[in-house]
Amino acid sequence: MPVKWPVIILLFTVAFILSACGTSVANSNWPGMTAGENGVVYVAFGPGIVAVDLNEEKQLWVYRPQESNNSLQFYAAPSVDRGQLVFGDYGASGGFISASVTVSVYALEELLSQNPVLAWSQSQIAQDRIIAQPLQLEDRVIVGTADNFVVALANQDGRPIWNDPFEAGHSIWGHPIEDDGVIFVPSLDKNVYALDAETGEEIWQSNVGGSVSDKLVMNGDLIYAGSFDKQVHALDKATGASRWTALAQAAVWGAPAYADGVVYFVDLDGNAFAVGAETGELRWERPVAEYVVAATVVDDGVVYVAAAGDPDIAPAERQGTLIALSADTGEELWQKQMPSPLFTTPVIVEDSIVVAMQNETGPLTLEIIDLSDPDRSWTFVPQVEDES
Amino acid sequence: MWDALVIDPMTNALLFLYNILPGLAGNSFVVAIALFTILIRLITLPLNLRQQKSSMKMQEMQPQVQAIQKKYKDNPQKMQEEFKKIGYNPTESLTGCLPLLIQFPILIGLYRAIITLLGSTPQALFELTDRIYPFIDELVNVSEALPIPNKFLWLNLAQPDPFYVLPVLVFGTMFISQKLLTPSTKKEDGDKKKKKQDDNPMAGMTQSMQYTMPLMFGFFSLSFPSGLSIYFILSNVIGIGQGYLTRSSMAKEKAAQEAGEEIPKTTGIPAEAKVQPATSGADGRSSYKQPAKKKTSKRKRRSAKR
Repeated sequence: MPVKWPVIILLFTVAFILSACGTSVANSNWPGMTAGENGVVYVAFGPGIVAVDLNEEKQLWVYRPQESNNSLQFYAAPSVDRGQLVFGDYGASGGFISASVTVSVYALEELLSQNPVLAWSQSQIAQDRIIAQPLQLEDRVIVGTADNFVVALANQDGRPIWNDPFEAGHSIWGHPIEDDGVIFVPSLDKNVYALDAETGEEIWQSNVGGSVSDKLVMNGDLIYAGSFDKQVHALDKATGASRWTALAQAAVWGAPAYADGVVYFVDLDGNAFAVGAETGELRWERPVAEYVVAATVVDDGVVYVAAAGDPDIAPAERQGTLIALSADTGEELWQKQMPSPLFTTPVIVEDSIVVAMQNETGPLTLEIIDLSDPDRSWTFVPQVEDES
Repeated sequence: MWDALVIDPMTNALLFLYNILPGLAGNSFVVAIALFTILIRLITLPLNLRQQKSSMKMQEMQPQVQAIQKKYKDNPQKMQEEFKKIGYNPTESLTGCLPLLIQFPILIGLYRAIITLLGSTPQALFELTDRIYPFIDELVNVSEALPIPNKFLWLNLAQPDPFYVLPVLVFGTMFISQKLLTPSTKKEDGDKKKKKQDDNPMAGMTQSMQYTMPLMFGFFSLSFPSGLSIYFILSNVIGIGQGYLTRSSMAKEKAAQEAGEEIPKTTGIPAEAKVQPATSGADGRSSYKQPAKKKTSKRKRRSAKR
């Protein structure tokens, strides 16, 4: 064999090793979960979307696009409204010699059947992942993309509605919200944007000093945004002007929650806060956990915090904790250890709270806890091998 | 261990540079990559220079080496002695690969560091916060600095270039850089060239590397993040400059050496004592003439003058 061949083989072996590096970092995330009607939750868990009927304690279906060949990843929480489930994927490479990435948004219907129907899919709107949960309006779906765009798609057929998509300065990871024809979009570029829902034109933008990675929360004429600048910002809905800020001790990753005139939020270090919704004055604060990235959930006078656990423990061995606090005082009501870190925002389904867990090697696991008696809980592990 | 030794230091260094540097076209992360590239090239400069010089020297010696190998194929001891006489050290060609081997951990580390720093998913960004050293956390306001802006001109730094400009530039710059490492040869017809390559495997290897490496890295750039392709291009541009300087300095050295060889002619040193360059026969094969000692002592010169 001529001497040059071993060199070529060696170089291509190195190339192969190089190309394998880092893919686990680039294309994975924690599950995204949404509660639908009739006690059904929809979870994006990696290779597909699974629908679980909690009342019947059974899995309805698992959806994986036929062409995906298991290469597509789904982690963005789906959006469900008017019998339509909308979600995006993390994109598929155009091939080994192609730089293009195809990212798609899907709309499923007949959700309560054994086999949901793909109403439409749209693959022309993004070159980077869909991480944000879409927003469904009466005739359109608003989708934020990781390549910084906000697009509006017709919910009948998925065609783009706006003449041009809106472009922010960085990725959109947070769920947009809508009020009276205006869409409010959080961005990692440290801005919150108000857009005209009809045209996509910008109405205002407000710099909050840090990235906003999760959804916005609205109450009356205020919008609340948790920011990486260690603050929660209350913005005027009409102008975007700052009305007040509440200081945390670390970045606020998960979205705040509003109930009965109070805004609740937890920072990345696990300190929980309650502040007045109108003025931002502190009601109580309490260290409750370690590493919190999930949004705060409040229901019926109880604040729920999902924690990822001790950062000094290896992720595979780390345990999560679900903590219930009194909304009035911040006093801990109960806490429950979970076998894996909790990154996904829990959802309330009727009288239960559902948490989703998926560590690097294990299967997706749902823990369903009875809110009236936290000691009563059950575990559901979807059979993800089943394909629709 | 790989993370602690390579990826984390690179990630923290890039994050630190990103925070102290001004933006270019609104993105100081590209400036941080540029400065990081220069730092890496400076650190590996002594090794790179040694490799370039050694590579050029080895290739120029090849005809002589082959002739010795052919002549003393049944006498390895004599072969080694002859190698020593012409200053050829076979292990030097292996140590010459060292800069190339060092480049691989740097490339893998940088690839991972760029992807980690750009934090293109919530999980990646969350994992990044675990990698940041406490003193960097104190120097840099990490929660406000992250995530790093991903756009630069038409590029998303965490994604491949959709218009294929960077892969072409990676190929072009690396090709020029490799070309500068290869000693220039006169144009030869195909058969002669092939025959020469068969006779001289190292020349063949260099020839194939000249095309394989740029093609391979251009090919990588189709699927690598643009940030890494920018590193490749900058690194190659610096390599071109470095290669050009090495080449001209070696040419000067050679000219000076040749000029020095003129002296014995006029001083009556016997022809056998001169350094004999390798020559090519009519059939294109190299032939070897026993070289004499390269340096003539001052005392010998003085006696010759007398």
